[in-house]
Amino acid sequence: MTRLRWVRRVELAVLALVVAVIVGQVIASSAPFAPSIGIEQSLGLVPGPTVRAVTRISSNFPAQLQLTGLGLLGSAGVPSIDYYFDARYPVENSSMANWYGLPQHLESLASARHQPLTIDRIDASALAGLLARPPSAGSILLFASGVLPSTVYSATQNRLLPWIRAGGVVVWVGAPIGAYTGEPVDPLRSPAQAQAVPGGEAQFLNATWRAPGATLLPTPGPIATALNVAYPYGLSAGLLNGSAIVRLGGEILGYEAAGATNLARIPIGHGELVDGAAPVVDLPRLAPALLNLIETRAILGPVDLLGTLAVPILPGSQPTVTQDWALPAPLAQSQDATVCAWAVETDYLAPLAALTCAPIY
Amino acid sequence: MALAPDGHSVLRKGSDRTAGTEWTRTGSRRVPGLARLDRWITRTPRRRFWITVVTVGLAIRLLLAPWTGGGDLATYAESATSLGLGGGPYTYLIIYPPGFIDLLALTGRIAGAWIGTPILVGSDPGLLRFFATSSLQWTGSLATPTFALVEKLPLFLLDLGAAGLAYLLVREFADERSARWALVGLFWNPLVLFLSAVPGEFDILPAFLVLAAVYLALNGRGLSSGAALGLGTAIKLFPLFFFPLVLAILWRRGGPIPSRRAIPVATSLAGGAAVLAWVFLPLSTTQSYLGSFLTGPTVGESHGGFGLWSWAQLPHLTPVNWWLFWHTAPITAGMETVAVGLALVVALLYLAHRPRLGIDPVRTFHAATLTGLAALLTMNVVEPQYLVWVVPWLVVTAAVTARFRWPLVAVTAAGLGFLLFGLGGPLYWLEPVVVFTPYLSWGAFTQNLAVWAPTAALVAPICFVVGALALAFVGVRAVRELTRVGGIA
Repeated sequence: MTRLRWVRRVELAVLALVVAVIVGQVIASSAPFAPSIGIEQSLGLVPGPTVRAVTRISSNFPAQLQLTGLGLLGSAGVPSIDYYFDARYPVENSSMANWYGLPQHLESLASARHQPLTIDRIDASALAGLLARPPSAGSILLFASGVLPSTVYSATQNRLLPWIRAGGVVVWVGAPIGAYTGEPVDPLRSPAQAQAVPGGEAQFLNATWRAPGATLLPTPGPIATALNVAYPYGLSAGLLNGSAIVRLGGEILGYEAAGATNLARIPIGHGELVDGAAPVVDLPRLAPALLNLIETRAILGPVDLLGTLAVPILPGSQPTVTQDWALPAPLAQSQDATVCAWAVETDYLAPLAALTCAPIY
Repeated sequence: MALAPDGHSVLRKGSDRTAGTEWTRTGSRRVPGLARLDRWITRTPRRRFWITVVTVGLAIRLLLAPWTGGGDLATYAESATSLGLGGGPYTYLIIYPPGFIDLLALTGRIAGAWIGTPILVGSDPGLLRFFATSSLQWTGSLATPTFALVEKLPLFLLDLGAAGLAYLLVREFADERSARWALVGLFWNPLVLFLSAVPGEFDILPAFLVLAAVYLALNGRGLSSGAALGLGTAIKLFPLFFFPLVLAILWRRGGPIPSRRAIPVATSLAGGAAVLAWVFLPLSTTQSYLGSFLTGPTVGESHGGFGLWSWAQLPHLTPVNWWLFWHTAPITAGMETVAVGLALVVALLYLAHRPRLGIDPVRTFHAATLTGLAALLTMNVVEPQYLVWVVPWLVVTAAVTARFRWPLVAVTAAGLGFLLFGLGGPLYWLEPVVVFTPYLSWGAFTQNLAVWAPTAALVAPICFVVGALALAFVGVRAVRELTRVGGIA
């Protein structure tokens, strides 16, 4: 009798767990509490010429926001992303998990921001096919393994550089670009080691554009502050020479240390190389940093910082912030320019952001 | 001792040579230093014994729980944060079936309602700001003490549940004293305790369900034993490998009439299928799990561990690190096919034993141990938490068979040693102490780690060798016990 009672108790325990999991599944599938920040932005022109941005903010948790005005020539939309991922190939200054996980983080962040984002994952073969075609406007090619596959790059071939020169936009993080190539292996075998390409980095980066390395950079540059590109990590193998890149017409996008930076946009031919001299080590920081650059189009070309302001928000409060940004002459005189108000959370993970843009005629 | 086909146990004290197993009383005579504990276990009145065991076990766990982290706690903190941000629970760190996420969602919601704060976010805004202003090169998902408690508390109850099942299994087939040893051996087991209380590894949950399935099958319960395994599989895949054994137990136990044997087998399959279908088919968490599982290399790399190839990651050795990479989906499928094959062989051996009806509990325990080992053998990375797949069966068997006591001690010590010295050691487990308390600073911590590292490099391989040898002994011994008497019919 005692035995039967215990059997029934064990059955009840199993039943209780089944019910708990099923109820939990309903909860997990329903909308949970989500920290949210409501942002309403309006842009107007006032004499000056000046842009007046009015931002009304609400939040259900304590948050830090950065409100920034951006001006850019043209009216490009948010670019789509071609993401190179092929697990048969090696990584360098990255990891298999982070290489695989970066697009998931980007998609998750974009979803939290209610922003559309298109990411196409392409393997090494598809990458070769993509580089064989002329670059298309409105898309960027993102690398996060630190190694170029042998299908497009080796000691005897370089299909990436001509593609950039033809107008392609490449975003690179991991080991120095061009420093490594890799061969594929069967997934059941030991992953191949990346092979160094002597002089490979010099194919992409002039020696004067490079700077001594550092693993942690202390100071965010102006764009990094304004857009919350909070990724302070660098490569001990080398950073980028900020002043040399600015002289080229490029832009410092990342952190700085003694004149060097870990992230910069470098014009090459008709295209752009957004080069991260930074390891892929911290996706919760890297993903928002990249997404902020992508959503604000700072990754595609030069942007003017019109003004920026840090704003703390208390839960339940609904402050209204008014900012006046004087338009620089090139923007004011342009017939095809865009002004944007960018609000981004700067807390760790910094998931939330909003962008409101208006054309200037 | 044997259990008759009609379900009434036939207790025969002393040795049970017909079953081909050595059946000895549990005691401390062969384990030096445990005489006092044995006296206490034997002589303490039942009520006081239970209260003491449960209180001490829970108290230690509760002391450790809020201030320690890493492991599954970190993984699920990221998952919960993603849920809290309005995303899905599946991040690149998670490849598990949805069961534990679902359970966490429920406990998180209950705890949130109780303390008045949303709990689904693993890292609270204050913590987020801490990292925003910190120069730490932190790459993990750090959970708050509150979240750590919410994640770990259900595991503590399941630790107790699993130990209770070990007690029941032994008590029903042996005696109270051995059963008490089983209870203490599992609930106070330092490895099991550490895994639930520090990194919050959830392996005890499917392990509990496997114990429940075998217990229910031994008592002729088809539907509920199948449901237990189905739910276990919806949480982590290894309970799937126990289906053949549970069906074999039900078959042997069913009596001489084939239809009476087939009914519990069929209901067990139906129970398992029903739970799996319910959990896997309809809802979004399931879909994202399947998407994560099917889209290729699901989790990237791990950090070595207590496995067949761990030696290769040791300092100064050639970095043969293919095993560090978590399997791609096809590899997982291939390996698990092998595990299913081994599990089927174990079940066939179990069925083939003469007489072909009736249950020999010790052979059943050996078969369960081998089934757990089958799953371990086919993994390319075996971290210490996977030892929980077999430790309960070692405990149960050790409670009634003297030869399994030293392997149990060795596996426990090796797993615990590897957790404490390998895998990043205290940096991994004590991160919350540094972040949330004033008692340890990053500077002091890093300095201590520098001293710790050479010791770790010495201890970790010793732990690996000891643990691997103990598991090998267990496997060989269990095969011998399973095949010795009667042979294949």
